[in-house]
Amino acid sequence: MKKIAKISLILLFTIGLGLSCTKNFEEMNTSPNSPTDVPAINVFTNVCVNSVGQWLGGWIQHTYLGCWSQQWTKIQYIDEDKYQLRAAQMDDFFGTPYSGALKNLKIVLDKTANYAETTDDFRDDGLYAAALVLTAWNYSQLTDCFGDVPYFNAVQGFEADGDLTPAYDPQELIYKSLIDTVLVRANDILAGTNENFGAGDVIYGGDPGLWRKFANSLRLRLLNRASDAWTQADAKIQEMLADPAKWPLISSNDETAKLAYPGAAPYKNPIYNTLFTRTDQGISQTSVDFMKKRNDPRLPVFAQPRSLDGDFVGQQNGAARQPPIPKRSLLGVAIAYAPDAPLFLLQYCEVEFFIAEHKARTGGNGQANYEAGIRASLDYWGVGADADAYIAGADVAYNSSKAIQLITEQKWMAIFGQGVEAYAEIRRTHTPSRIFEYELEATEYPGRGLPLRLAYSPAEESYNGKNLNEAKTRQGIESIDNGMFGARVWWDVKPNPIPTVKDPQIDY
Amino acid sequence: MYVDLTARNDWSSTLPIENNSYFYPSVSTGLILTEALGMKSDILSFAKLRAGWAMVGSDTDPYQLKGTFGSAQPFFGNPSLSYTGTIPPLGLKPERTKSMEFGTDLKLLKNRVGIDFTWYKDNTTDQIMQIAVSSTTGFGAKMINAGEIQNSGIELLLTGRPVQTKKFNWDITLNYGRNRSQVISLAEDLTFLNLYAGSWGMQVQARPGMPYGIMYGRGIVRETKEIEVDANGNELIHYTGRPLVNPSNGMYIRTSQDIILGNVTPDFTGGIRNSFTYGDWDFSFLIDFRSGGDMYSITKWFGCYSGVLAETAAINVNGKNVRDPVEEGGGVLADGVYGKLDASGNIVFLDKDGNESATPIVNTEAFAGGQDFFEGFWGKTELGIYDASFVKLREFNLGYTFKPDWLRKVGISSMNLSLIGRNLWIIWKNMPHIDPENSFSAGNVQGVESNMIPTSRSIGFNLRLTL
Repeated sequence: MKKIAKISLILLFTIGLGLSCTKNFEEMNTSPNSPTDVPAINVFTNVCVNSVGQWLGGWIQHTYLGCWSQQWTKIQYIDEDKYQLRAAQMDDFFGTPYSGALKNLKIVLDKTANYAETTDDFRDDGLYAAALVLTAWNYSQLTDCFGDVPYFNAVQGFEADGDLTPAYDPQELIYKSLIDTVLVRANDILAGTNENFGAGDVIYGGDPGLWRKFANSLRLRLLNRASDAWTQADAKIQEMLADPAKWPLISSNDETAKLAYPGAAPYKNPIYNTLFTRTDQGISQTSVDFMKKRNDPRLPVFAQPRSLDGDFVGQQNGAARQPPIPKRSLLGVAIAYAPDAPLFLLQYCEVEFFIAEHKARTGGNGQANYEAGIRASLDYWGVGADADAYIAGADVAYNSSKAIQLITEQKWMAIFGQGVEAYAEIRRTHTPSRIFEYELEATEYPGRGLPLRLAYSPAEESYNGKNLNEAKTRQGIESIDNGMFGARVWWDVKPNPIPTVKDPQIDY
Repeated sequence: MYVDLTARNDWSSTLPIENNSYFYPSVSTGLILTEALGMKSDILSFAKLRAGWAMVGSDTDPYQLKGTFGSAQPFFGNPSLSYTGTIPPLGLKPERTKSMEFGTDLKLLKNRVGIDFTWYKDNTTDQIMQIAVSSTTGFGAKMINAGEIQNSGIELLLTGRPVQTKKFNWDITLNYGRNRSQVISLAEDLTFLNLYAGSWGMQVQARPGMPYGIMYGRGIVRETKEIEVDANGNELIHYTGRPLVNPSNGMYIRTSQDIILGNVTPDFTGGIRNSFTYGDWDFSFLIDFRSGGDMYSITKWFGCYSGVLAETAAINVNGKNVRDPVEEGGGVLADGVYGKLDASGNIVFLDKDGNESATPIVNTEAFAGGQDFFEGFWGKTELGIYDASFVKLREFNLGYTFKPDWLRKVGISSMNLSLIGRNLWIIWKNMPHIDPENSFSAGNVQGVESNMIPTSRSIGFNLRLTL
């Protein structure tokens, strides 16, 4: 009896000890090092840095679309320049905007959604609207590259019963939502506030007025791009231009949407970091020839003289062999070799070119805006003094019979370094024409021309396969050649001319 | 007969309060047959049967239940924070493993021969792991209780003393193990788990209904196409036989989709140790072996792509260097048969001029330029995958035992001085250039080697004092 009593007592004691030990479990399991809740502006800073760094300073720029748009070129590891893809990169280009910027932006939006009821001196409506604009910017880049992508049901991982396999939405609906809902809303909110929302906004320093201009300029960019597919687009542009008080646009180089870099570790321009110990990129021959033909004063800014003899010589995109580096011009110092060089989301000159193209397209005269765009670009790069001579040049002077070609090719040159945007516009406008006249010497896809889109993320086949396949079927995406040809995106109405002549072989 | 029972309950702070307590018992028994049956035989000196059943519960790492923000360096002095990339779990439960084991321990011929055999089966359910989700959710991974995974196999230990005399003894020990992992089921709508997905195009997968550790990626087309189907009805392609070679350029043909490239799981592993004692001398050596299991050597694959390995400057059948122009007799003559894939993805055999052929014809004339052939490794992950079997001289031991009187005065009864070597010699391997045991990590990620530094050989002395 005594023995049983002893054992029972010991058992009870042990169990009792066990039970009482669980009192502080929740506190114990809360990390003392990582916060579970932070101010929205700090998350916004992260989005600005990482999102801009990825779209304009990452692989999609320096290895893929910067080269496919024949502004830049690869001079070592030249496979991607021939339209050859690495599947893992598609996962990165498609997935990172969602799991990085768009997720964090959703957190910012959720936290600042009640801005009307905020009792702090510090109103959050500016931040809320800025987050809307960056959300729109990210989605527009995604859909321009990939076509139909998840939009309405995306980023629901936070919710308890959130949709973990969102459907892919048609590009038409995404564009219309961004243009008519998101960016309009941002403009309305920003119209009602002029309180700075914090230096954590590392793009515009918290100035709601500048974000309003960026929002409308982005809307203008998207409307211009949709103009062939959407009959109402030009009317909407006209509405914007007719009421500049309601729809202020970026109107000077100072208002350009860009991210400046501190220039010291750990935040140096990402292109600078890439080229710091490697020489993988150079300038495309297409760009050099374009500038040389027109005596473009930006040539010494966009390119460096080659070490062989000081001449400017670009490398043909999609060549069969890597060139000897001394025979090729590298990218300009201000573009790629300055640790504090900025990256551009939307430049002032683009706004002028959008307006010029709209006017030329709707029976008006785009000359004034065309020339203003050129001057803006030359001014920014410090060669504005040569603008008059440049504009008067034979291949630059405004000519209404080929207005759209002139406007779009000058815009292409001016957005040197914005590969994602350039690649979208090239597909839409078919300028510069050289890309459609000559097939890359060693293209991975002979006879197919320029890819119409990037390949979808292979990881999505595993994790969201049903919706991906529905999207592919709906868009008519081919099962061969990574689905990059054969199915244009919604705004790309005119079929691409397929070149019949190969690029001449290079004599190294 | 012996019986052991244990019972244990854990409460863990790392699991949600509703599910943080888990109870697990175990029972093991042993029956010494020779004693039970009163056997006294010179042939069967000792026999024991063992059986055991155990349940083990497990929790997870701390701080997994709530999502947190990570911080980057301040940008222009502004703090920069980003939310976790893993969806914090809801309703996480503890892991449970049920293991079952049967074994026998036999000693024969007056303990001169020993056989120790074990068969085991472990079933792990609700394994706590991160699974990948579509990044369009805003996250890359979610923490869940995964499903059911089974590990079963055998372990065998044979010991023997072939020679036993007063001065000279010779012992042999052989150990052998075979393990099979299998995914019985996966949680939720998962159709497979990616154990590894790296940037050089290879995934290592666990799929229900298929062997664990399938290597999956792009390869080259070969003569015969086989289809394997997993438990969910997904078809996976596997090419076998000789590679197809394009007669017009001498190059291998890349598959148009991911295919099965191999499997990381070895067939069996083991080792043999031979020990000899002669008077005060002792000498032993251990040979380790492994059969089966593939490995992806990025050293080999990238080394060929970038032209830094010797095979990219080898001499071909014409006596010319593979880097010499094909017109002059240089180039690589790839092993294989002429062929191509037609528009529907079917294999079509060709002859040397590119005309269709009913039967495969071995490549004897189509040379590929050296740089083109090796640069063509890009996107053909299979070309870096090799069987990682090996036979190695793992250890070597030569020693002498001293028992001088003066040591005993200090309280030390004996002293042994040995010359020891480890990882001395790879006697045989299939993998070019690298040690097949040199893989990325020891965890779930097996079968990938990426520019690892070579394993090291060590030789030294060992002094052992016995009090």
